[in-house]
Amino acid sequence: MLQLEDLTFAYGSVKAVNNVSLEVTEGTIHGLIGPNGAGKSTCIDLVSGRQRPTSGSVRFRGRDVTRMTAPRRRHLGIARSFQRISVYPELTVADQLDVAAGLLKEPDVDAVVRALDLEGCLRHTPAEIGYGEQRRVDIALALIGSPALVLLDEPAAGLSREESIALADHLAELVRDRGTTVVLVEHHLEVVYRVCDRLTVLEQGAVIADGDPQDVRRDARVMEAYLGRSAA
Amino acid sequence: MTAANDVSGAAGPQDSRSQHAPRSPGILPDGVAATMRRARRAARWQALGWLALAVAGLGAPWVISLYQLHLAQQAVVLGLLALSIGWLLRQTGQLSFGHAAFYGIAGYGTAYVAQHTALPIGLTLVVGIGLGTLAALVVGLLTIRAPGIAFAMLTLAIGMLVWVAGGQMHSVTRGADGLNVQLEGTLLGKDVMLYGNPVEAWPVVWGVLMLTVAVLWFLSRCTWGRRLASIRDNEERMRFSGYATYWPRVAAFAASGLVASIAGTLNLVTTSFMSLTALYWSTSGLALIVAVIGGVRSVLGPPLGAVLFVLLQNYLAGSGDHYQAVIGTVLIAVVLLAPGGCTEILERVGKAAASLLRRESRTSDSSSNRGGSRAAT
Repeated sequence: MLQLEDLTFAYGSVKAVNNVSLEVTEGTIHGLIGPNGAGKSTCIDLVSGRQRPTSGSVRFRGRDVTRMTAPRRRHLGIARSFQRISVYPELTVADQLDVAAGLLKEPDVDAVVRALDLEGCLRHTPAEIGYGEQRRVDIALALIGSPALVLLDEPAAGLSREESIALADHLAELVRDRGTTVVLVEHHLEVVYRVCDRLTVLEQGAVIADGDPQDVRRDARVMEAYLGRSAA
Repeated sequence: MTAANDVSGAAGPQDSRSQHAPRSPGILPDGVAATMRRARRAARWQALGWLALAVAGLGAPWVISLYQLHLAQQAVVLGLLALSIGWLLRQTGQLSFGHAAFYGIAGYGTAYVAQHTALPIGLTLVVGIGLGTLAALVVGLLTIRAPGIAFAMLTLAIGMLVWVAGGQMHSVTRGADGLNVQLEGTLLGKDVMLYGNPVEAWPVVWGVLMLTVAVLWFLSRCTWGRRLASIRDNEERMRFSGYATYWPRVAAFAASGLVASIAGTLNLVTTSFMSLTALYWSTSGLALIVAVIGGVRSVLGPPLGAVLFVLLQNYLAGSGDHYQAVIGTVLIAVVLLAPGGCTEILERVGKAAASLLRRESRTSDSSSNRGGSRAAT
């Protein structure tokens, strides 16, 4: 469904993403992990259209979307959430979901509301609801319009362990019920191993491991990247 | 239990901020459509309030003196200009110091067309307003991508360029001497020169203001207006919700330029005079001050601010330039104490009065209940 081919993104002389190639299969949860500064969020930015790559290409369902604007990619079915919660601070939750539903021709926005348990906060602005609810509003904005591919950038950041596990289970259910493909950037390794069908590990912008989560977990380079040389 | 319920179960009890969030008492699980319908029903009351104000305002010539009506007319023109800047600020978060240019271009444009062509007066006004709006469209195309302070500075710079150009084009503007214009023809069944008399002009001036307020109110609430507000709140999120944000913001800037142009043309029709001051940045600055004092969150705020400004200016007229110190003090007080302006103060007063009435009615209910139970005993 999604192919990154020799994707490179440089900030001046620093390559945040360095020749990354990977393929995401339809209907799976693909985890993207790595230490801080590994280039995970930049990868998401490049796929969603927030950044343009220095070189390489992004193909979605066989179509080259590398130079496409973010709004066009969204209409094609690539949606994302943000590492720092990105909602509309002055609008009520109902208002912001309604605006997004109008843009993306979502016929059943209430299904998204129910799925993320947001009924109780529809009349409130983000400042009036809790952090967990704000996080769910952010994810709801990404889910509206039934996108084929959802890029989630640390959705469990700031959540408790229980909340994170519940969110992970919900993601798994989402993939099962809607057939949505998810690319998940996450630091919570428990969440990652719980739901991901495939894992790609990045370090300093380059892929150091890619494959089945259990195999990746035992990879010496991954252990070194996460735990240091002594562990490897 | 579904996974969705799992999410809620996990999020609820652990989320302390959620527990302390101020919830409406007795709020029930609700759908997005139902919540939006409720908001629309509340808007009907606002529409009724507008209608009552529009009708009541028409009676001003029978209630106030000619001089006061003249002041009210000045306030309406200033209010329209303030509304154009305030509405742009409210809908897009962009602060423009260049709207005086559109105000002046429309006024001078109308005067030029009236003096140099044989177009009917109605068409002359349309051309003048069109020129101001076209200028706003061009400026919007060039500047709207600039963020915050850069946008304000760009509009200020462009406005000052227009002012300098106006000073150089002496044959069109008569420079610092000002331009006296004799408009001719029949407008809305009256000789256009009659609109120099506030009594004759008032229904048109008031009608234009109230119509503009209604249109901008509607634009703010319609789908496009809510999308604009969403862009103001979080432009990036809008782009990742599939919305290209450039053209709607250009359109909003042009729409606000149209309102400034209407104000400029209305000023010319009622005063038959244009001066270079109309193009100077301080005209935009004054309109902005007036809008902030009135409150930009409501479409009635900027006109209300204009009324207060004209009243204060008139009241303090004998004190030289001291009125500017008073206006400055009022501005500081409003920004510090009620950032939503006079409309916020009125809203607070209304809420306090409503809660006082509710408390009194509860007190009288409980005392009558006590009396009833004593009688029963």
